[in-house]
Amino acid sequence: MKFLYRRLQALAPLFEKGGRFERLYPLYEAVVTIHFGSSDTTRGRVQVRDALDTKRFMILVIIALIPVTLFGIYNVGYQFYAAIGEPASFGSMVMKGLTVFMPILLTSYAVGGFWEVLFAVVRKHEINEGFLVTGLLFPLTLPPTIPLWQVALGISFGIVIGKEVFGGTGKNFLNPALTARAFVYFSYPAYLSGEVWTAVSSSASRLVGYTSATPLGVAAATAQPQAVTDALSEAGYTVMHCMIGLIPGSIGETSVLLCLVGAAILIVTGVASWRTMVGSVLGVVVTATVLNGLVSDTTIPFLGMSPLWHLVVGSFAFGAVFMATDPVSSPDLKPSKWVYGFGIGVLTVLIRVVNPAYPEGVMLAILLMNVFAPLMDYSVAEYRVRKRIPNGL
Amino acid sequence: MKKPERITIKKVFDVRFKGEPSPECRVLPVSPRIGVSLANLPSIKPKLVVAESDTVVQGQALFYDKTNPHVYVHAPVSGTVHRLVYGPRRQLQCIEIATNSALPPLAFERLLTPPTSAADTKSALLERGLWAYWRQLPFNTIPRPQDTPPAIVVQLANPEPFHPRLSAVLPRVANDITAGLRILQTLCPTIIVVADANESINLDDWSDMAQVVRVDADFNHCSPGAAIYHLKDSDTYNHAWYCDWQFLVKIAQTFATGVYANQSYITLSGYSDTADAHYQVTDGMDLTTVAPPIAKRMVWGGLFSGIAAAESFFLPVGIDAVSWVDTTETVSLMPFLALGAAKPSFTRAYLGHFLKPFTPPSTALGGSYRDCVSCGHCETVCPVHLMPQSLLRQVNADDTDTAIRYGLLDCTQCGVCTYVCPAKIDLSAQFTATKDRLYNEVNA
Repeated sequence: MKFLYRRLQALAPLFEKGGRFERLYPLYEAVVTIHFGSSDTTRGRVQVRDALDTKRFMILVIIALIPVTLFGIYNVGYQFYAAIGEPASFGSMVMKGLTVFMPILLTSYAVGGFWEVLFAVVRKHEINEGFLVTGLLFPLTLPPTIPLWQVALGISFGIVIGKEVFGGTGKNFLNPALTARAFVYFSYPAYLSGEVWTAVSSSASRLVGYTSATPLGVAAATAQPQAVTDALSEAGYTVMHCMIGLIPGSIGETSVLLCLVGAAILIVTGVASWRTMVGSVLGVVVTATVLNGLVSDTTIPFLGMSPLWHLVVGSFAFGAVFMATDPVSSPDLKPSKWVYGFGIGVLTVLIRVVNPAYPEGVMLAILLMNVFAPLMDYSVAEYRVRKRIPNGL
Repeated sequence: MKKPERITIKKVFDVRFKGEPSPECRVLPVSPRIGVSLANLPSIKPKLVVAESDTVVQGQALFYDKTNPHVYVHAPVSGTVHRLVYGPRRQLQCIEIATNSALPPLAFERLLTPPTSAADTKSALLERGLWAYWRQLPFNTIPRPQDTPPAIVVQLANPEPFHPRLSAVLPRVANDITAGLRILQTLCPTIIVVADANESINLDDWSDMAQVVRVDADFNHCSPGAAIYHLKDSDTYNHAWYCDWQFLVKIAQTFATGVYANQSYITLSGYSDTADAHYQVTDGMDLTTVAPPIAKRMVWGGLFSGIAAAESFFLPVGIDAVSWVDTTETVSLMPFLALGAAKPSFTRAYLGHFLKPFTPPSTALGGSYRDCVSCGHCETVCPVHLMPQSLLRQVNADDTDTAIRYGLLDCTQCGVCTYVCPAKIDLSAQFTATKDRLYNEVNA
């Protein structure tokens, strides 16, 4: 290992300023540091530095995503065999899940990595580890039936327009993974809504008379005088089902329980803000409670969905834990994190319930609040600055 | 000025390093050569009044500051000017003196009671070459003698790791500190003595002479800038003067004996288990006589705000701690995947945060330079409640007015924001550079 390290170090002059492959320095830097970390030493007056770096920061997000990813792979296979009505072993379910998920993941990483490297080389900035997270988050928000060319287009839009045109990770104001998903969602709506949540073609599912409507789909389609809860239990959904997550949905979003595991990892390691998460839960609870109070015979039944159901269905848990807490696109200051989280919760429920065209509102809620994050920070900062005793020239 | 006896600060920065020097205080003889190094004299534009091979005596002026022509720096020992060392653009860096202890020191008038007026005290300090030890907020520069300080902060503890502890030498200097405070009283009615609440020192003797504040020591909060920030109730105190206890000892001894006091207390750390201790040394001491060069980075001052010493081994004026920091490179596969039980970390991302491994400091950067990811760690450690990440944006955008409004001049340049940054951005350096630029613009 030391030998390999020395060999890599020996190549450094080729890539440094004036070297033959000077332009490819970001690629070289990425290869060396991803294997051995950085060997830089401190400059300037601060002689010692903390062990935490952005690689650790991002890798912890990926570790927190492993449970939902593994479960997502299993669930894709589980839903497939449930849909075609065949009994199957655990192994074959996982195999089926892998054959569906791995191509999506690899496409996302390969295309996303291509853009990241291209921009790093042209714009002369380092290749940022952030794309490893984006490249994993994006596939987890997709249905298993997504065509690979759409994955490629989506991640390209997310990385290029969502991030790189602004200067790369750290300069983006939108969550790149959600930007990618929004692009696919609005460009190819038929592929991201309706009966797309199980990895079988719709003709096959018709064969066994199986419907793969998600809980949100069921709730949105409920008509008076039936209550949402009744419709959901009629479709076979209970709160417990949704917590465990063996239900149709986007690959990574279904298991609320494992999202909570991820949340625990992120909070314990201090990577994600618990304020954002708690704020968004509060937002959902408050808004759903208020809307529940407005229910009458003339309103749509969706309005009456209880706060608990709002929390466990759809991608709320996944979004609040992994998407909303992206440090770059969420606000910097603690008070604004509360407002930001709360706003996500409010908007999620409003978009779900009030606008029948979008049964799921998490993605749009987070992107919208991303846009307002700088304004929140500005307001909090100005408030704090007013309280300071001025120190001018 | 607020009048608490104790300040407890909520912001926590509790990373501790192995290598605290032993409290034993050894006395070192004067080295054959002494160097008056300007490395730690900010904003001074030196004009020499001696030349190479001149004979100088202890207490004789060596140079003055062109912008403050009454501020002289005096020779700590008698001897011959051996060499004048110039840096880039012929900037004076160091005056080397070959020691000759046979020459008697310059005799000043002995002042057994403190001067009666501020003007007398000032001229006594200026005459004896002691003015250059003063510092003034917010730019940490040497104050102008004609100004009146709104407050004087006396620092009894330097919160950075491995600095001299007053408790180690208190019996030798307690009377001098009392005498020094009497002298300061003539300059300004508001004197604030800042002590570390975790250091057991009896402060009762001084509490009727000055406002004594114990700071429940989170890292760097008992620095003068941070103390003023937490105590001030109006912006008059932004330009407070400050000094440390060693300055009080120096002025008290010089006034009482009529001889320029040339002794300081310093610590050595990170050198070897036997050498790491407190030392009483002559100013400008040649450290190679006690600590020959080793394969570590030698740092003048603190780990967070020190200067990496390049070639010179003469103790610079006003430096009281010398650390040697490990530069060994450790190669491991994918270090960011480790549990990190042995990695000291402020953040919970490594187990070291919980286990407190107590490792010696190292110069490893621990990562690569990246753009700010808005993690917010810098904000949680800033001793003066700045929002470093927002401030950095204003500084980068060259919006100095907003930066000042956001509290740039409150920045104590403690370096803790730089320490915690996972993107390895040197926030502190950028704030310092902006402050220096502002100072030069204002005083041009």
